[in-house]
Amino acid sequence: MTRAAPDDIATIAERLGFAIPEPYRAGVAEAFGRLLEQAALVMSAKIEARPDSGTDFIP
Amino acid sequence: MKPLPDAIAIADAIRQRRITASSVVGTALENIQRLDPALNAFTAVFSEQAIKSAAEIDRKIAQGVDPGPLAGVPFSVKNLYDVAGVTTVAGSKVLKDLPPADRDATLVARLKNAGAVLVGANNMDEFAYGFTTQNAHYGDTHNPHDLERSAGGSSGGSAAAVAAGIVPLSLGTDTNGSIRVPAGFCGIFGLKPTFRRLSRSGVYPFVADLDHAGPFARSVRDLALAYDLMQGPDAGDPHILERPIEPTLPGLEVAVPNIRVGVLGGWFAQSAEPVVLEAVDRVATALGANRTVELPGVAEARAAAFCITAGGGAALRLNDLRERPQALDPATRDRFFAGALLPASVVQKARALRLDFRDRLQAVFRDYDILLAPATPCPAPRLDQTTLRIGGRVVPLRPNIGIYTQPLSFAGLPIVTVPVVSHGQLPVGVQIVGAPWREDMVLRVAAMLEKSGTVHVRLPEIVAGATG
Repeated sequence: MTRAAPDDIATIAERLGFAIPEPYRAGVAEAFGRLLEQAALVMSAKIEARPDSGTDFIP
Repeated sequence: MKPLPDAIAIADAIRQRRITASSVVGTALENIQRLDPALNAFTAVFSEQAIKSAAEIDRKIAQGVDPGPLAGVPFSVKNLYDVAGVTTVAGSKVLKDLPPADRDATLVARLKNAGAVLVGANNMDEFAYGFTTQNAHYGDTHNPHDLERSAGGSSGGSAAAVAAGIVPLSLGTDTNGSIRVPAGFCGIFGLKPTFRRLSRSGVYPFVADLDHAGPFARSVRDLALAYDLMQGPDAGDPHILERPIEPTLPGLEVAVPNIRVGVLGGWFAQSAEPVVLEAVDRVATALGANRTVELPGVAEARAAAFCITAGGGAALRLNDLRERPQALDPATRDRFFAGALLPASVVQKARALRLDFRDRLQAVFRDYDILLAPATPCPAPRLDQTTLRIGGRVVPLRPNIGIYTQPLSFAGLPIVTVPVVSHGQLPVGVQIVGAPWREDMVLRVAAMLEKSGTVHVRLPEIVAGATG
């Protein structure tokens, strides 16, 4: 799994207005690592940007 | 303990004056009292109001007024549905001090208008972010088939209540599998309708991009009836698409001739335990399906659903993350924090992927009426289980329970989970997947399977024991 440094995560979060309490940082880093793996898969997908890709999805 | 029959049988008996609504609702309330200490499926019981409502149904019947097709049928709802006079907690502690809802959620109101009687609210994962209904605030919900195992989530309380025969009908929600997973683990039927089909007005949101509302039942006809009664436009919910009401119950028993069924392979066949693949085989054989379908881009679709969920879910919790993270369930808190840090570009790309995946699936449905897939990679896991063996690898359990449900709901397709039961084993769910807006098709196929005995609901031993 992709590792994210808990303190780096906490620093970024703090700039965005979230103070991640110290005891939660390892858990958040682990969750962020898992999310990053999925995000990497999304970003590597070879598809074109679509103008209709808003939130108004129609099945 | 007296397990209740299905909703249609109850309503028929009440309308024909063979039993009273008061006695049926009384039985449901006794069932809760008897079984819920072991199951923890309910977080609130509305005894007083339910008894009053049942008496009102009986009064109408005595006066010759038909209370509706669900006359006197007790039902329950996941505790993220608004119930007038009750605070909607959505499995959390952070909402519990908010004022009570001033009206019922649209779907709750529609079932009540059809004569159904609400008896309680059900346990769930906090904010619906989970697949096991293990909740730090309200406790774990236990699977009626084995109390040491999970009922699934996030609508686990609803599924457990139906599986145990406490109520014949319950409402849940499904963002990534939260109806289909617990239906599978608890061995009952669950319907996730097409995205944007049913109103979400008065349903506490988790991820607006992905949330669906839908019913659980012990028979396909109950699922169809509840779904039919809940369809229709709702001025309170601009999200639902304008569609005609398309009743499914009248045509439910009509066989589907020359049905084209494909079994999803690749991603959907790689990581499941043998008992799960056997269940899919059994359903496929019953439907005469012998063609395997490989969907392209499933891993990316699942990843995209994962990211939209993380980002969208976190967006609604920003104030909680800033002001009172300690009040969140540890099982969701870390993921909400992570989601809050996800770049918007990922979510935007994930949305584009969704359209691409939808288009690919639409092409597949030109050749098939129905696709089959497992609901989960394994039967109900133990509540203390933290890992799962998938394809020879040991992976964390919770994020991987939804690997088969997540890509399909991402495309917004209508899906019924049907229960496959083998002697001495835990039930296993199979997804019957249809083209968009074809709830009629997935329900008809589910009814065919039920009629042939391929799938059925088995009464858990805990209930059989309690009836003695």
